[in-house]
Amino acid sequence: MLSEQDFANADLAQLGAWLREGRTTSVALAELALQRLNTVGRDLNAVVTLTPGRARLEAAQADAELAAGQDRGPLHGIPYGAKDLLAVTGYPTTWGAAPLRSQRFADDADVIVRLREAGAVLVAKLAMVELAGGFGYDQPDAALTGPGRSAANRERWAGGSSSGSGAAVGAGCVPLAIGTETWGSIHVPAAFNGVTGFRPTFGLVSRAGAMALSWSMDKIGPMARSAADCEAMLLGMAGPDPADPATLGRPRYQPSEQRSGFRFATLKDAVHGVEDDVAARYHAALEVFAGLGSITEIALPDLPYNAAASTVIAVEAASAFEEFLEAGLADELTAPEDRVSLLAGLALPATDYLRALRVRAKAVRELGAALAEFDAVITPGYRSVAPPIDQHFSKEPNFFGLRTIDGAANLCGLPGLMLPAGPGALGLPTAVCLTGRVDADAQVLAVGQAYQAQTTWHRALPPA
Amino acid sequence: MGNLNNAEAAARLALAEARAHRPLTEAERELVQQRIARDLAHRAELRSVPLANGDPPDPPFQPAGPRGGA
Repeated sequence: MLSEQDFANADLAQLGAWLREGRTTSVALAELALQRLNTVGRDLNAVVTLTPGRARLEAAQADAELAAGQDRGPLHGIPYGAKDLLAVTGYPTTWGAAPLRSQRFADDADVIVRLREAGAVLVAKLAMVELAGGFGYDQPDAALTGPGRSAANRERWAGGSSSGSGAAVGAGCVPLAIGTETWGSIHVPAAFNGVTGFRPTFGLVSRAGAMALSWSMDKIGPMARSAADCEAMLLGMAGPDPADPATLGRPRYQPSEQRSGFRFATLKDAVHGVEDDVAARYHAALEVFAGLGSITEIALPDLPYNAAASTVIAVEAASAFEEFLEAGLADELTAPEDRVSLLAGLALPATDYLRALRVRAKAVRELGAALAEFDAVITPGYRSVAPPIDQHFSKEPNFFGLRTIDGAANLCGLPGLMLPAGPGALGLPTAVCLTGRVDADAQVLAVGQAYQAQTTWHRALPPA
Repeated sequence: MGNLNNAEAAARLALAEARAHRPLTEAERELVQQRIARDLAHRAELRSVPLANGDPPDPPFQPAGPRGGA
């Protein structure tokens, strides 16, 4: 019989081995996950809805299949959580927003269907910043479930918008979770909770059944204990789907076995504005990467990535939520600033939006050329450790303004991997970020696995 | 440019308020104004990128649907 702490400390490979050795069952793993989510997870405001009925059915099926010799692969019988912007039949899908607390959908999101077919067991809908943070939130207290608390320290923010996914994995409530990112929403919670988070190339994973914030920038990706676990989860999630045209025509994901001889780039201004403790962990990580390949310092093409990304999101979000705004539903949102800020998007001229899209076309070309020779660009994961739970972002200069590589990567649909890089100030997690070329997802994840074979930061144990 | 931006910012604020389902409070109006000021600053940044008449947006219109098949 596994203890809750055994479960919390285990990665995907360990859990899979225990299942196949008969040391535990999928039903037992689901019960441990439900128990820990209901206590630790709820204390961190990481949970919207537990899904015990569905979890027990899926887990019992997984156990029966394994007993009959049917093995669906590494996700078989493993519990996971899904950010609550993904439709799941039989349960509310709140998008993290109080006015939508009773919203329900008739079909599962594509990624939920795929993970079920891979044998994974859904145990919870996880908390998120309301409406994926697209309404201009300025503080952690911007969610139906309260401010997301970091697994590393509950007085610190878990990051957003995939707050619950990051915290639930970081606290060992689930080994795997689905996050989504339009601009930073997988990477920031991964950094603040000490977990590994992967943002796939735009279009690698279907968004069918997911809340749309920005049709041309939304991505769905895995959050887990390691890059290897992210890759295993991605293999279960990725693939073409006629219901999401962005997925059509993309190459199928093929893992890379490369673990050395990589070509890395760093940015000339990488630590500008980055706090000293984070910069120190970044430089320590660079020493590890230097043992895995060559490192060349470059500068990104000088383009207004953040301005273009911000304009695209403002207009697409205003369009996606036009009826929501007009109906006055935003008045019921938690953060006061979320109730009106998106109105500005309704007044943004079409010419500004089109100019942002024209600049994006240029950015795609120039960024693609600049990164063509490299497997990954290495940057600090975030400028600081997780901020206090009551921090107002606008009172912290450049809180969201320094991540040029994040703006560029999200605008242009590039894959990115956030990796734990050791403790910074107050013992809180820091991270390094890898950004790859379009469709070079496997290379980025191969680099991440090579880095984690040389480091132990991703093995930091969740709090007991 | 300053006068134009001021006039345009006021026009955008009026449009945003017209689209709201209720009158905005002074504090809410200030929040929307901040977003409009940010949007106008972003446009100035975007206008600094040289674009030719024939430079299209990304993604381009595809009359036959997405490239490639499933």
